[in-house]
Amino acid sequence: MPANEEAIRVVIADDEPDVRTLLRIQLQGAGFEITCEAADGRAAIECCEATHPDAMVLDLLMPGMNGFEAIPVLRREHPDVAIVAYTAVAGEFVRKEMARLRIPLLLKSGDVKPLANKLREVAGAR
Amino acid sequence: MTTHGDSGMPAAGADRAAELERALADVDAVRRRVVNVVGHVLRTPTTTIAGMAAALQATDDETTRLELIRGIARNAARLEELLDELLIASGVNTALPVVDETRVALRPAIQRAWESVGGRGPLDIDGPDVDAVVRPPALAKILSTLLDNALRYGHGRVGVRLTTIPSGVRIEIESTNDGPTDEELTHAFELLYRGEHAVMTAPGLGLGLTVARELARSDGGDVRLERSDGDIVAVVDLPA
Repeated sequence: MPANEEAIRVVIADDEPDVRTLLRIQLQGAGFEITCEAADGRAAIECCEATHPDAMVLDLLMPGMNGFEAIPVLRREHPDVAIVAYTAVAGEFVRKEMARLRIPLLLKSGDVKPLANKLREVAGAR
Repeated sequence: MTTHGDSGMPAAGADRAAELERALADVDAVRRRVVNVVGHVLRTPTTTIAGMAAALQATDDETTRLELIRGIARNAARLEELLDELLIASGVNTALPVVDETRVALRPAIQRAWESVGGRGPLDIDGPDVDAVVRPPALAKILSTLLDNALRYGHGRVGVRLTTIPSGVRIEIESTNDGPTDEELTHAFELLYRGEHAVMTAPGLGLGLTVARELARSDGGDVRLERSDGDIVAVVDLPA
């Protein structure tokens, strides 16, 4: 990323602490600023209220308020936050639902490049 | 000759065909569960290890390296645990704990299990101080699985009741949970089964209850689920 380019500010929402740690290290290494980490949908919404990010990496299956439940609240209360759904498995229901909501969907991977590229794409398109 | 409906098929043949259809549907259900396990639950620790190993090679920062090494170790241990659980739930007794049965005080064991799954504060445990004769690692696994389920899938209070029964002791773990349907409860102990309520609430393998029951039965006890008003009660019977 060019030195004068402002870093894209991202919230990471995933109930697995090690996934959050990994994404934080990988995305920071790729030039993103991680503004907040959340373990469920409710905390993700609070992160948006507190840190006003550009984008969110959102796990769909989390205890408490899950990603599916958080999306309509995020859309209503934080429409400027671009969402990328990030999940370990995506069956037909998940794929159709994310397509209907026009939310990009990525499978969890050890390689952060697809996620980084998608975050730049959605944050740039806002 | 008796025939089946309008098909002209002999009744015995029609019954056999229906039985075969049911068996194929069962096989397909198990296949889908296996795909879910491999695709979902094993995927998270596997991709996390792969990502952390890659990140480890890309950083010189000692604090970050240590954080990544610890993460790799945790996820490798999680994979190992998942493999053991898969074997135990499949009825492979080579993965059962190799220790002798011992007399264990249940109240402190339940409190330890509660703390191990992130339960906050002292757990509400009613009833007398009683012991069970079990293998301690098996008991710890049974209790942590059922208390973890109560925390993950229930909402609100978790309570435990201890009683003596003719065959030994009974532990009842009660949590407010009106999510699962009666149909889902009847399948709850099946290998890799996860009801829609569970799938939508938290990631998981569909192994915990199967493992808990296998472990209890291997010690001469049993585990079952009951519904009580809006509560789900996990009932554990153990020898004493």
